[in-house]
Amino acid sequence: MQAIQKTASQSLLLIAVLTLSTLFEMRTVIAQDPAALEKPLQQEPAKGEPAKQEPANREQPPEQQEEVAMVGAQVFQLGNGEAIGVEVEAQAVEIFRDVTIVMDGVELGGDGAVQLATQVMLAPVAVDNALIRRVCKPNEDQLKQLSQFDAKWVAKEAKSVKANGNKNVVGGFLRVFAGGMPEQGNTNDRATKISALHRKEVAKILTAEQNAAFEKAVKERDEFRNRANAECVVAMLDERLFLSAEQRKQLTEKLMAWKDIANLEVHFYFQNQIYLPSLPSDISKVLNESQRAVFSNIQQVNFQGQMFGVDDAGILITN
Amino acid sequence: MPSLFSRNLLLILLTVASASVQAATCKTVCAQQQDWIQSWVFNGRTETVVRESLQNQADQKLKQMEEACGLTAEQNSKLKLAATGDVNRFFHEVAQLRKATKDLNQQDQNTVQEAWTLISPLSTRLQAGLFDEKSLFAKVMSSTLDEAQANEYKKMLREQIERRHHALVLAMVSTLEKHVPMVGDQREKLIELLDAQPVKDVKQQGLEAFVGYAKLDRVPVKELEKLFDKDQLTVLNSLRERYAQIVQMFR
Repeated sequence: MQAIQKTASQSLLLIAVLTLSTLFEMRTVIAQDPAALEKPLQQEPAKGEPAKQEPANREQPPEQQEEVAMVGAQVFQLGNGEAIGVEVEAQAVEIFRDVTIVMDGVELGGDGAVQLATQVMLAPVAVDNALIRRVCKPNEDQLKQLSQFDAKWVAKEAKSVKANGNKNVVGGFLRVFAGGMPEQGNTNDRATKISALHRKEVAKILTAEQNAAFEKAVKERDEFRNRANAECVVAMLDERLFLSAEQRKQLTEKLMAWKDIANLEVHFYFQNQIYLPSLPSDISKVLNESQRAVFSNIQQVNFQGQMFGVDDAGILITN
Repeated sequence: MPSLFSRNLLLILLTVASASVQAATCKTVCAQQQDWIQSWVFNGRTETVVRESLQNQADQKLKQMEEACGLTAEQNSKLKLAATGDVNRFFHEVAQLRKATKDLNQQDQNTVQEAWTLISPLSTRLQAGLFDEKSLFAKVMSSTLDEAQANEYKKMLREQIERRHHALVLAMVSTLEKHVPMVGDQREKLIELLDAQPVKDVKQQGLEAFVGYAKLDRVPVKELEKLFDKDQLTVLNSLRERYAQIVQMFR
């Protein structure tokens, strides 16, 4: 009995300590930002990481709404060219206003959400629509059917697609005790799933031959992206390690087969030359002993985001 | 049981109080002990690691020269000495900077700005590499290598830069494809056009990431019109306008 009492008392102690520390932390968060309970907990940006965009007030005066619509429209025009028309752009600004956008665990609203939804989720679909028009030469009827994959369709799918979220233990704990927003899926993951869904739906409209041509064009584009990124990484390594022609060839092949190569934002590393991306360990097998010594001293950092174009998800230091 | 509960409650309060005091103390002490050189120049690495890294870079550079133009033992020895001199000179400046920033108040925003002004040139130099054209290494190299060796070495460096620029062209075209849909033939021809555009090597100014856009800026509009349709050109021209200012640096 005494043992049970002791265990119960210890459990009570543990729960009390956790509750107190959570409330203590929550009090600090609320003191700094009274609206904190209305949104998921935001992590402090790492050194060098750009500040996250704060959610804008969704109920804005008309003149501010107009300004937001302008921001969105500019982004559309730059991002998609002919892929979507001006009327669709204006429509999309309104549509995406209601979509919850979560980037890197942070909820965005207002023009930030419109911009992200446009660039991350709509742009790939719109660009693929335009690619289909060039590669598959669809007829009038097909074109009419393809026009359904517009901003409205993307917004609808954005709401229904189940995306993997960023796990945030403290945020989750806070939400259990203090309520607030449920954990949201990651926008990039949602965008990938919407793109895949778009391709699946498009296949139903195109003929087998047209679809094969489209799939081939997409495959070539993906392979090209992998090659481009692999050659950039090899060029960065060459700068520091003075690789032989054979090493460059082997490294390019290895990197092209690496699962994360397509997601690298290589421009960042040319701009911040003390870093390299976190590369797969087996590339060191291609290097000689003195190259390995130099390689092991280079800081490897994962930059998630895009310098030229789309999102701005900050820097994650991995070692 | 009540006594056990009171004891635990006391323990909880003590734990919370002690944690708060610890956090406050740590904040003060950590701020006092922050090493600005380590944070801002070495990017969190220790002096030993940075020194070792620089020495490895020098060894690697010598190996590269050895392969490109076949150094004699005497040339190798002179260049090695010069590289060590560059590394030592750098750490001498680091030591001076440590002295200059030692007593600065890290809690004062103006002082932090002042410190950054002092520290940033050293940080930039380390990023760009110590063995550039102003280095002792470069000076010794130009007086040590004969003409044939120097030409071979320059040729090798030029080829290396061309490879970097080509890789950046590929990366830019790949980014463009997130905005402009391209068929395979258009992509290949655009790469050919871009590769053919000469641009200055601006690695030292930290602008290398813009190489692709600088080359795009130099492609005559007529050439692009032959390659792309009106809608594609609208987007390409928007991008050209966006980076028009920065690509001036490449001319």
